[in-house]
Amino acid sequence: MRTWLLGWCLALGAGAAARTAAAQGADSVQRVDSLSYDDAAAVAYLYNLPAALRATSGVTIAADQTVDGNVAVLEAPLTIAGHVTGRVVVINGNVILHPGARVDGDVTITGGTITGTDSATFGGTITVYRPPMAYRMEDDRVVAVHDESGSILNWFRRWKRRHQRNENRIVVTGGTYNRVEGFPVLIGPSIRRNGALGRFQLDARGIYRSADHFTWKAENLGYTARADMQFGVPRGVAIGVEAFDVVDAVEAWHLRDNEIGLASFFLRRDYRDYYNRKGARGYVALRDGHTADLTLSYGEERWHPRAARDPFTLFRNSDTWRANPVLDAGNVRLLTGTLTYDTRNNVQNPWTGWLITASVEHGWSSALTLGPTAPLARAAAAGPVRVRYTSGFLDARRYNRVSPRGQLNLRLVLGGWLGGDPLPLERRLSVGGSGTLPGYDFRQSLGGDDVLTCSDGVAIPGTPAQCERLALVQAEYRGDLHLRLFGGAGSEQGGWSWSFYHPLQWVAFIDAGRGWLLHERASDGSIVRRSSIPPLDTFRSDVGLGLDAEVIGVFLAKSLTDSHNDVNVVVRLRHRF
Amino acid sequence: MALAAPLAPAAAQRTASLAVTLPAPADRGREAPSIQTANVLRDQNFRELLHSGFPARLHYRLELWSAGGFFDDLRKQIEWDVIVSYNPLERRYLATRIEGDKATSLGSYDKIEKVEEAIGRPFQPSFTPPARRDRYYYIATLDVEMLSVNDLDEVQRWLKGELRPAVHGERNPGTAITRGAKTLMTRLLGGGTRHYQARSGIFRP
Repeated sequence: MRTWLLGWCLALGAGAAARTAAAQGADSVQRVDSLSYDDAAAVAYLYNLPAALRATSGVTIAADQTVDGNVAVLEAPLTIAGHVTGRVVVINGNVILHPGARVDGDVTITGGTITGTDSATFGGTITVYRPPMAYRMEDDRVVAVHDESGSILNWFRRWKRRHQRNENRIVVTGGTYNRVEGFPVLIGPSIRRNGALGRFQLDARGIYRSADHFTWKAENLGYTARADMQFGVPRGVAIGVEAFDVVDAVEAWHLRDNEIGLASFFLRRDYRDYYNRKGARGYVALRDGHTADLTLSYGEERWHPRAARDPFTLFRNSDTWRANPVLDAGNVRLLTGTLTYDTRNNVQNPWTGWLITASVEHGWSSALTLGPTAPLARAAAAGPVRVRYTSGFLDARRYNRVSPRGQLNLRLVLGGWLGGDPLPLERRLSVGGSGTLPGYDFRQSLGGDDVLTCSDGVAIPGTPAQCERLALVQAEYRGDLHLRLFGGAGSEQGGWSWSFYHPLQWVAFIDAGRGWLLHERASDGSIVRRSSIPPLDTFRSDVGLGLDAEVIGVFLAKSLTDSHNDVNVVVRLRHRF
Repeated sequence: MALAAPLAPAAAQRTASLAVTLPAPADRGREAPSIQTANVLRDQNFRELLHSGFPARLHYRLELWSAGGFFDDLRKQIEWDVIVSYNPLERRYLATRIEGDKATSLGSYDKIEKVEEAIGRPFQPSFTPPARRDRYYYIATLDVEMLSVNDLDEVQRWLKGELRPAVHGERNPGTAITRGAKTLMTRLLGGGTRHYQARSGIFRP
């Protein structure tokens, strides 16, 4: 190798010697976009040759200065205004030539640029390798090392595809911490295969719940299993089947799972109601990566109520959990269509785009045992009743940047009864609380004019959501504060290195919404069918201000329509919506 | 013309920063802006993890926004990564920039400070600037994370929540609650990943 290098260098030298006339101008610059190991070794050889001037920091050769020999510079800029009689080698640095500069030999640069060639004089060639050179030092000698960028690229590709690769593994997962299950531990196999036709995914989990100290009994056990075959990835058609015996939430759209888990585990506050679903379903889906998903499913399942247990919490462990409402029970068949459309530029921190989730469900049951409700919400029945209903739900969010510093985000939620019999309690709706109207407490009672849960002033254990329709509008303006809560200064020396690196935004928001029943109480006390959307002056609204540091936000919210409501302090993980 | 975060020039000597610098006015229709970082690997925890063999990923994104109308529009965006790893046999740090399918070595260094310097050099991504004479600006973001040690993801999974450390039977799932709570407080407030933003001033090509 050394012989070859010597030959390469002699060839360079011969080429230079052959140029009797001085080359001038940028035309003589040879720019190379790659730097092979052999090239790097040759550059290292040139660098290690005896040099009249060798530097590892910025150096300037003045206009009246002549360097009688070679110049070698490492990781630093070189400025030449004078005369170099030998060659110039600069590893990972720039060369700046002033007018009148002269270099009799070759100029070789890696990982840098050369400027001023138009007004300088050269006796040899100029070679500029754009990539920086990988090397190590052995005493004062530079030794080229193999460029590992190719292997790092391959490794990085594999790392990025780790969630899509074929795999067989046993997974331990957990559900959201809540007052019915405690901490549900899920254990089971996960198999993924990427074939010529598409991607096959099989996930099966046994569920073991921590409530009652992990006691081995039926209500602490469950399962979920799903097989999904997608033809075409990422755009394609998928078919799948699913079987389950799980505890599910009634209104999962108010808050995120991690917020529910956090509030439950730390504060003994569970902002959801739950019921048990046991059954199976099959589905067909059209998918376009993460952007769009249209799924049509049919399933048969059995619903039955679950009671609140007494799982451990970090604080307020002696307090009593809010009761889990007794919901409807029975076998139901569900035909469901769901659409997800997501064009956000960033899932965690969107500044533009749409996020739309919509669903329509047609359900029917030959014998559904009704849970307790207010008489206005639904007529009580002595035994199981036949039920057939259609419901819909729309959650549309639009993110807009209005300036480099600010954004205006909008959200519209519409949902509820579309046809048939009154909705089962599992499909009823409510507003109020941190995720919807933070100026109101979760499940706050408004007496007979209860437009939050539609209780009609009737107290029912657990205060279930009873509204058959709902409308909610949320708007927020977010502005950059150009502040960071904590910096990293001082962390280099170790010790205290706790720091927080997320931009801070101020947020102003306004929300308005309400739920309503299909029947209302007329002025004479009789119950009549509601004929239209409730008047806007019956909607509840709030305003608020807050600070949002991307991963966590603190907000103050005050009701506009109920002045006696106190100011609420709300902590959210990630943005409000 | 550039705005960086944080802005204070004195603090910029020590604290991490990201900056977007526009080309000269005559070149703004031809050249992409320069992206420059400083001190993003300065944190001692990051350095210890890096030295223990966990690569650091610096994920950059450059967005071009137009400033006309009531709402600004995202016109174009480009992403690239810089991977910093440590070779314990050679006791050297390697830095590699990855743009799509192209990997460019940023060098091999014996000291982390030199790596900081290498990855902190101004970089012009392969990005075609706008040609129309509308009003535009650039937004640059940088997320720094230690690969394989993304505790924030772990917290998210715990709360939903998947327990990676217990997958291979290394930890008792029963202790996951306590561990998850601890991780939550340290990582959520301490930040397992670091996010930086910078924007240019508004310009016309």
